[in-house]
Amino acid sequence: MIISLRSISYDDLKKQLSKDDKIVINSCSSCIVACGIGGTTKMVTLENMLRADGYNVLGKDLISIGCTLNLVEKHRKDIKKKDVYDEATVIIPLICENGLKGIEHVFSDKKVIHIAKTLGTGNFTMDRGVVLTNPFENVDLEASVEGYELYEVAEELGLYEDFFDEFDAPEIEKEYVTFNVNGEEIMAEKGANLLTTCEENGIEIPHLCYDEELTGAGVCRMCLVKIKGARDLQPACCTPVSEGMEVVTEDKELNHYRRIILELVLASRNHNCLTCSKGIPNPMFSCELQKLIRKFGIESSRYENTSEPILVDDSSPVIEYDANKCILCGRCVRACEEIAGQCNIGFVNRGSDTMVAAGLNVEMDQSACAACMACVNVCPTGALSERVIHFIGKDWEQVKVYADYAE
Amino acid sequence: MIFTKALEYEDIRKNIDKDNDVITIIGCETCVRVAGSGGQERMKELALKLMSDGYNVKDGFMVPTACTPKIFLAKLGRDVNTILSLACEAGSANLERSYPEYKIVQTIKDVGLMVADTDKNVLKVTMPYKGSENETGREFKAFIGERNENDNSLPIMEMAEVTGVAK
Repeated sequence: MIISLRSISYDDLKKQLSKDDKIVINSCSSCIVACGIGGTTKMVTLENMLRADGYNVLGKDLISIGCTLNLVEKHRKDIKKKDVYDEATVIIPLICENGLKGIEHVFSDKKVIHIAKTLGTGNFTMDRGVVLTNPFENVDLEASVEGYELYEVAEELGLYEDFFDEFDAPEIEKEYVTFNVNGEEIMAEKGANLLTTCEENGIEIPHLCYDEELTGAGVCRMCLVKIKGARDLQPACCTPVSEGMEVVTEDKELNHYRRIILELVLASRNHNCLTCSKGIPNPMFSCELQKLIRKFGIESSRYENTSEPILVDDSSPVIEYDANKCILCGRCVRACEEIAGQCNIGFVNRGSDTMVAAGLNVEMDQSACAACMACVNVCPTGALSERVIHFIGKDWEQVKVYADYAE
Repeated sequence: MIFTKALEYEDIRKNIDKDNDVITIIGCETCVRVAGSGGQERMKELALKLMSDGYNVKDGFMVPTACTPKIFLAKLGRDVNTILSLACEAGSANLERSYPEYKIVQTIKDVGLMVADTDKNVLKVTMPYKGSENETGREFKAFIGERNENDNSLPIMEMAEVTGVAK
């Protein structure tokens, strides 16, 4: 993992900008996120700060791996992003100095303002977060197995240990609305997403197809809620909040629908947690479907499972695609388009035969997959997972650590 | 990503003991695989060679990333006392810290940071570690690690940049 820290203050950043600039903020979704200075939430923070200070921020863009040049180029040329990038005069990439080389090349017609200094390589640890173990020569620290915590390095080198502080910018003028959820008054920014607003206020709405880094799709129907005056149930993940809205997120009827959806999901294909890499919840990855099944106390499905087993695609050295565990939420399809910029994954077939496939329905390693893991990172089940392979014997035969057969 | 090169077989061999070391190889599937110094094929090649030379190699694990707690996805056998790290130096540091009672033997050395193009299958070294300054700007074949015939497939660095250690 490449270790970077923020190298400039918010004032330094503003000095490099003019009010006429048209700004796009983009971010790598890899190491820099673990270092605490990249990713969607940091882009939103910076966007809000700059807007509050009167700068013109056109948009933001998350890139799965910023040091993979072809992915950056595809983001620039993406039909949905091209106009914004073309109009921009300034790019602020939240990326390490290595990825910066690619950004500067792809956006050579723009002013690129960099905010990070790259210090070397290191580890992500569960107890101390990111640590720097192998510093570059100019960092003037010895290599250390224990590693240096980022605050220590920041102090030593006069860098910043975290991202820009939102309180360094004036409070942005926002239009707020008040609405009612389950009898409780909630105030939120006008147009905010109903599902995330509810979650921020401690009201959990079950969902499977929604991911905060992707556009909403409303396809799993788990987050359907009742909104007074609406013709039918509405997907909370695709509904903006508005003044006076009256919402019910949970009652006997909604929970009944959700149970049916979950039982139908269970009856379609094979969701066996005992042979799934995401079967045991842990801080690094857990199955969102399993969590909901437990929440609703479902032990079996009343519907017959008529699905035929589908061959697991383990052609990729890094990704295992088990379509038997796919719930067709489409997160991977959107991630491949929006975060990877690849559009390599899509739906094939129709009706009950519908499935997610790579390329023109070929094995993963025969497709244009860049192995950036954008799809794996958003998959709510064990359908797309990172491969863990065990090799044994005099012929070095490979066996999967998690498999639907006895090792 | 981190660009790495495989150590010479003899340099690996001199750090392990035929009589006392019971070996597991732990490999990373991220940067070292793309750099061509690691990955499944390289692990198999190394394991079979060591076995044929009489070393006690029990098994091997490929984990998604060796620089994160995902190394614990490798389930080590009870009799194993030595881990061969098929990962970058940061991954090896993680192994050393996570398995202090095991002997950790590095099989790969860091060169610097790299930018990749997975469509062209090309890598370019951008920020070298000390001692690898001459690699700056050099291009290699992705997943193989062989030097490219030329260094201008990825025009990401000005020639002026192709100097010294990472600044």
